[in-house]
Amino acid sequence: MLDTFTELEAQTEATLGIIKTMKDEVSHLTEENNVLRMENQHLRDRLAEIIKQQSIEKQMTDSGLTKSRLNLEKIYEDGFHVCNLFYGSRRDGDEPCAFCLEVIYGERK
Amino acid sequence: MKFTVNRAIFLKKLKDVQLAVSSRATIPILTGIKLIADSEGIKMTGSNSDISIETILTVSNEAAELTIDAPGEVVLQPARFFSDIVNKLPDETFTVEVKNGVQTSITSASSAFVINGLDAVNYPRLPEIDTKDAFTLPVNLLKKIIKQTVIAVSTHESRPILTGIHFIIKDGKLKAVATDSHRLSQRVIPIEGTENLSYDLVIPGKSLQELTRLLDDSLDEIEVSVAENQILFKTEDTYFYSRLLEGNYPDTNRLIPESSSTQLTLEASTLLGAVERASLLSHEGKNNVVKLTVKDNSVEITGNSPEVGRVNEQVTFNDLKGEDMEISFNPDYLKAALTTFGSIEVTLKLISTLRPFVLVPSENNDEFIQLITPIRTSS
Amino acid sequence: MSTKTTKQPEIKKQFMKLIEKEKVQHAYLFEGATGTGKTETALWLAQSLFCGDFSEGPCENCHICQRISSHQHPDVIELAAEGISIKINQVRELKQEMMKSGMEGRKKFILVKDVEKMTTQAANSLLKFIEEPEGDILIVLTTTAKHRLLPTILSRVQLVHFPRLSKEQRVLSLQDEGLSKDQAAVLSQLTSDTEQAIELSKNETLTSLIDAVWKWYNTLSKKDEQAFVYVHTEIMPLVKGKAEYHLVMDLFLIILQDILNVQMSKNYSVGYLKYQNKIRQEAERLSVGILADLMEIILRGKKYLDSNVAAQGVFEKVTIQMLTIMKKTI
Repeated sequence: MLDTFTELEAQTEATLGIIKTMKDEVSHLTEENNVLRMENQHLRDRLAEIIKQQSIEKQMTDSGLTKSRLNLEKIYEDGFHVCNLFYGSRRDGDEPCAFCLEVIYGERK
Repeated sequence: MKFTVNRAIFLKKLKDVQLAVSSRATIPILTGIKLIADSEGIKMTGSNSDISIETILTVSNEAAELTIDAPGEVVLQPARFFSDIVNKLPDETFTVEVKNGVQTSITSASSAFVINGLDAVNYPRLPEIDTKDAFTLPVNLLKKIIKQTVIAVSTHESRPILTGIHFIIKDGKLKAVATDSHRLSQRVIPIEGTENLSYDLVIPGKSLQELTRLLDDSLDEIEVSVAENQILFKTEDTYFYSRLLEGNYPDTNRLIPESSSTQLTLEASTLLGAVERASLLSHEGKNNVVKLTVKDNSVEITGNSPEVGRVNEQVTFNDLKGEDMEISFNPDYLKAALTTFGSIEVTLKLISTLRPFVLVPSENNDEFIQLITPIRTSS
Repeated sequence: MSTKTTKQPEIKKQFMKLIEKEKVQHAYLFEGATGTGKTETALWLAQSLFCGDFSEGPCENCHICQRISSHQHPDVIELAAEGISIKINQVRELKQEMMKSGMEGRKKFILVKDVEKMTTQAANSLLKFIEEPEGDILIVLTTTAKHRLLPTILSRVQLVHFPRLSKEQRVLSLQDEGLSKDQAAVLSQLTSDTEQAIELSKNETLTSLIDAVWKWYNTLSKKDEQAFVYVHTEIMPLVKGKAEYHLVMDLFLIILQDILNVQMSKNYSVGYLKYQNKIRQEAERLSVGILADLMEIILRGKKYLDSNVAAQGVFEKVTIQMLTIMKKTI
């Protein structure tokens, strides 16, 4: 009978050891889970921000111009020159000006 | 001064010189013609201060029958008066003699005039131009370049430098550009023997137009020299001077687009005909606007003047690539531009409704560009 | 060398220094009264710019200098008012010239006379070109009325003040304009404005008047009561209008001033040059007190004229008063 107890004791000890390891493992996993959960939220927030920014930029590129160029376009449409050559003067008879168009739409290198 | 010369030959040369004389002169002596005689021949000068024309008749010119009895100089004015006299003289030859200072007698057969001249010492001096760095151009090509670019010069005084044509000579090439900010015309040609030369000048458009009037189509080449304030175009016996414009010509290279979304290739005359017809309507109406529409592989020219009517025309083309496009413009600018190409195939390159479009010859398209800015329409 | 006397040698010297140091600016305003030599100096400056034979100044003999002084050089442009003002179309033509380089060389010289006569529109359109001219340009504006100029113009130019000429210079410059020595002497006493003096010299009755006033003085100094009649027979026929009545008084004053000044300085150059011997005699004879009394009578007479008292009456009154004083002298 004593042998059976010793054996049982050893078995129980082994099981306790396993439980302990498993407990540590679970604890570790729980911690990791928390960290990941927080990081995930953080990333989701960040992603939302980036998407918002991109959609704004997409709005701008849809009309093809940055804010400052939009401004110049408005002044040009109101009938004034925005180019260096004639800056500020009225566009006689609303005639188009190649220099102004280059300022508003031209590529910047 | 005393010389005798063949009347017809003299008149021909006088006519050339008179092109430069204006009855409205900044100083009175410029309403006259300056005559100088020396042992080699006679020289005539006419000028309105912007352009000056000098011609030479030498004693070695047999047809001129020129004999110089005494050297000297005088200014006879007004130029018209002098040329009318010479025109009406009776004989084939006539004699000019200056006595007593500026009293000038003009005699031919039994007809004798004595007119009061002016002292030539008071006539403006043309600059001495160093011909060491001169270069030559074929006359026909020069006339063509001028006619093709002068259509785009400004006629306003708001930016005076745009009333001239910008000549840039660099790396063995001549680039001529003119723009009034609504449209632009540019030609580039190679010039031999100018690899070391570098010039950046602006020549008044009016002067160059007068130059084309002076140059005969029969002439082969013309020699070009540049001084700090004038440019000289020289043939064997005729000198044409023009003053230059002061100031810096704006950079126009940026205005010419490097890429395009739509390329349309067709006969210049075809498009010209369609635009001319559409412009009949736009001229009648309030807005001088014509529209070009590229859609579903077809090209259409339309015009719409409320209260007047509408016009449209399908245009036949040779090739069409790229996006569908609509663009409105001043038909007179396009007509003028198309006319300068003659009857060749051209390519229109368009970017967008709002941006300038260009026309180039479909072959060799680096050497000739016409650019037109479109008109915004609310439609 | 020119036969004309040079009016502002100091100013020319200053410009010579600037020319030597190559520090000449591109826009100047010459301001000063008429006849002070502004145009003359401007043309001299133009000659300095273009002369081929320049050493201590322009040679004034070469064809360039000659054409400039005869207003025939294509690159020396002179603008003056046609009528009362300089209009915008004149300025437009000027701007057209300014956008081109010179005809004989790159340089251009522009002279605008009496720039205060420019309409505001014309002046504004010229501003940009004065501030940033294209090319090699020298602009000289002249004015007699600096206070009437737009501050925007004043701020863009270098100011050169032309002081009034000394009496000797004025006499010489009037003679240059063709006046006789005697005329130049009297008129330069009468007014310091050279142009006004030239205008007066064209008045034909003036010479007669100058002599008539002298005769009047002479008669008075001899204590001759004919002087009273004299007013009626010799003076009145020559004058009409307030300006001329005052002129009579002013001419008389010149005589008195001549006498007084000769007393104080033997070398004084008198206005009544023709009669300077007699003036010197009078200077010996009359005391300062007497002269002062005579002057006061004339000045009071001028006041009466201003109050529109009849001229003849005024002249007669002063004659009587002056006779009384003269009778007290030797």
